[in-house]
Amino acid sequence: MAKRLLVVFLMLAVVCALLTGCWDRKEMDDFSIVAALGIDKVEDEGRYEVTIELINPPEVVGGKEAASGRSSTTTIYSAKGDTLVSAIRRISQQTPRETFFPYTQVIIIGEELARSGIEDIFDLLERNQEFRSTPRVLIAKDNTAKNTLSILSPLEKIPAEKLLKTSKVSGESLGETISVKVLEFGRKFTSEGIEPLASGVSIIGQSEDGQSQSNIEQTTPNSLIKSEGVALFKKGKLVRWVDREEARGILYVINKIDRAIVTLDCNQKTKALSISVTDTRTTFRAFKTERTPAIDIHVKQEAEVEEVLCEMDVADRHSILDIEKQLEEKTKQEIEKAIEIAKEENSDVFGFGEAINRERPKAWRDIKKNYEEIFPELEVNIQVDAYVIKTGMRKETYRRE
Amino acid sequence: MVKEKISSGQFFALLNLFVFGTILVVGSGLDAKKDAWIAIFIGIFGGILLFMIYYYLYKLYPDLSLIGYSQKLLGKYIGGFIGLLYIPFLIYAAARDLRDVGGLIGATVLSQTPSLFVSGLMIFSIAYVLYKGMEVLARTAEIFWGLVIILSMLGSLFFFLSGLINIKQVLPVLEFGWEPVIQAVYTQTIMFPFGEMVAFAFLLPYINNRKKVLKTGISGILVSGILITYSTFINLTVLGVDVVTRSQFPLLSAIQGIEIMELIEHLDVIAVLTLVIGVFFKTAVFYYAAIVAMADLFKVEKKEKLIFPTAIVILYTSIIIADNFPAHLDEGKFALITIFPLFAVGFPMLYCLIAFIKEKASKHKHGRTNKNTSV
Repeated sequence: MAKRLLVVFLMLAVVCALLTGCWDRKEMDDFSIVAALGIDKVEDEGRYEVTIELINPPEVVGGKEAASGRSSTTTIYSAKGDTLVSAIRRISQQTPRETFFPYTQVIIIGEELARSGIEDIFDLLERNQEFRSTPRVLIAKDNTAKNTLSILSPLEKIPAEKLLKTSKVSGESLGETISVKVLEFGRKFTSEGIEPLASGVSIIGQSEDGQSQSNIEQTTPNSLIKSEGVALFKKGKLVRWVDREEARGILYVINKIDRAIVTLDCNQKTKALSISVTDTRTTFRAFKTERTPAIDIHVKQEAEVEEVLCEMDVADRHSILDIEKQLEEKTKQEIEKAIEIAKEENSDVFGFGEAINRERPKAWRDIKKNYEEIFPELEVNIQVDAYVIKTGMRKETYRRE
Repeated sequence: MVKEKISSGQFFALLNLFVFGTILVVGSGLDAKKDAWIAIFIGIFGGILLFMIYYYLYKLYPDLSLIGYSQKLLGKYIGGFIGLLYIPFLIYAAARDLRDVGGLIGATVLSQTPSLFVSGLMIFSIAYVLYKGMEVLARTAEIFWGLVIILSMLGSLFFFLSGLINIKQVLPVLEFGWEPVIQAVYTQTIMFPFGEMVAFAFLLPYINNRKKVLKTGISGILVSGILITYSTFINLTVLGVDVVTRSQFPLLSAIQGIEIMELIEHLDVIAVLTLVIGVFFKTAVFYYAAIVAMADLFKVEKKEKLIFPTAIVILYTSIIIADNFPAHLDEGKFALITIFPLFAVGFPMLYCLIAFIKEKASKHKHGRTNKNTSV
């Protein structure tokens, strides 16, 4: 009996020691959630400047503590270091709380850093168990990540959320930006025959004001964040910004367009017809020619008429056919232009190389080594099928006599 | 001779969890790159062949463990010596799995906790289950098998819903031809996880329905093999071959990417639970096989006496086998082409051969005596 008691006692002692799990406990008031991470290049005091946006919980949730509503919902901290981790740890000199990264939503990279190469920053994002593969990558156009993160914005309490949503919403409704996850960016970066791309964010009306609460107390904020442009990369370096139709052309090819607004001509009036593309499906295949493989792109579009600024009778089948033809032509032109740009920069953001590898592995093995010389010469055929399926609530437009 | 009995359903569950064990985590056949899943799939057939070897011996000596027939076939001393070698092998295998879980949980989830405590908690819970007996382990396996299946179904559902699966990432199939795949099959996927089934050579005598052993064994290997092929395939399509090969815990990385409607995300627990359950049973099987081996060899009546000392040995071994986790993984690759083939294929093949010859000889003799008597 005594022996049995001893065994029970020993086991309890072991279990007590093992089950407490004290090492990894984290109390809510000991850490602060990081909403966004910004990375810039610096010359002095190390390689990188890291900026983090910490959420101030009471200000976000509201309640008694936030009754004043005066203090900002987030706070920006930044520090410099030779490596990202050393810079992040240096931030602890300024914050009373430990930083907590699993809920990071966006990673912003300053343009200067992007231009000089971001090949090294992904190791930490992959290696550290606190980071996930889901944060979106954005590039601060003509600016630093630090400035971009500092701008407070109306509507969304947390600037990171605002950045994320702006980029997402404009991507979905305008079709000129794209939301790229860290995982995807990193994968394209390391794969052969494809280069990464990412969306840009820029600041309109850069002013000191943008960083304070007063910026969002006005109906016309002095500073605003705008989602614009797609950055093309080549070997880890930003090589070119493309915008508007050019950006759309690229996104058409990689099948990342949900909706887009296209302006077409109508009769004699140019740019007088707004067509909303509601669905686009792109597939491309590699096929073999005598010299090198070539690419066949096939785009299928569904669209509806949104706005008519002329006397065109959209209730007429023939004019619908005309619109379809114009849309096909327009899409084709945009894609051609986009491919031309990518070829100029010799950056295969479309993954044509990957497609060749996928479908013509033998041919890829021959051209893999000098793909850089082949890509600018690559033969690409584009075929677009557009279908206008709706014309809105009215048939023909009203008469202006 | 053996009092405890497990049903064939329990054997099936145990075999399944054993195969899932660490493979869902560490991955196997990655030398075949994008075609790792094919290498694993082919490995299944190697696994079935191996199981046939163990089954052949089991059929001849249904009451004996590997130690028992080793002594019968090679004599008390030589057979006993080879049997003796099996004990450190099984303990080493158990310690490797324990190290896997300690290292991975430490690297991915509980970064501050010393891995000794993760491993310690694990091995002592296993020891407790084994102390209660083989039957308890088998019944526990049945319950957790259900849980793992539910988890993997949920996981798959979320992967499909999240749209992360990109089949293009495993294309082109057989980019570098069959050669690397076949190489990965015999250097990696047959041994890991299927070669490790040699541990079951010690447990087969516990199964109560002897007629069903072959059927259950093969279906168990098929089901678990197809599931790990599937999970490797999913990992590759979600993460891409580059990320999978450089991940410590590919399944966790893949699952972290799931985001559905901004609502279903941060599903790490699915991966971690699968890891912990799988490793629990895998370690337990090796551990119990080592206990059976010791008890058989040294004629220990009460197996329970061996359980706690062995737990300490396994825990200690798991700590000293490698200085750090990369060294541990590296050593694992080495063990897969040296130690494991010897114990999982070499000796059983030898026994098979001797048993076969003996059988023939005795039949021949038998036939001759028959003839003699008839004359």
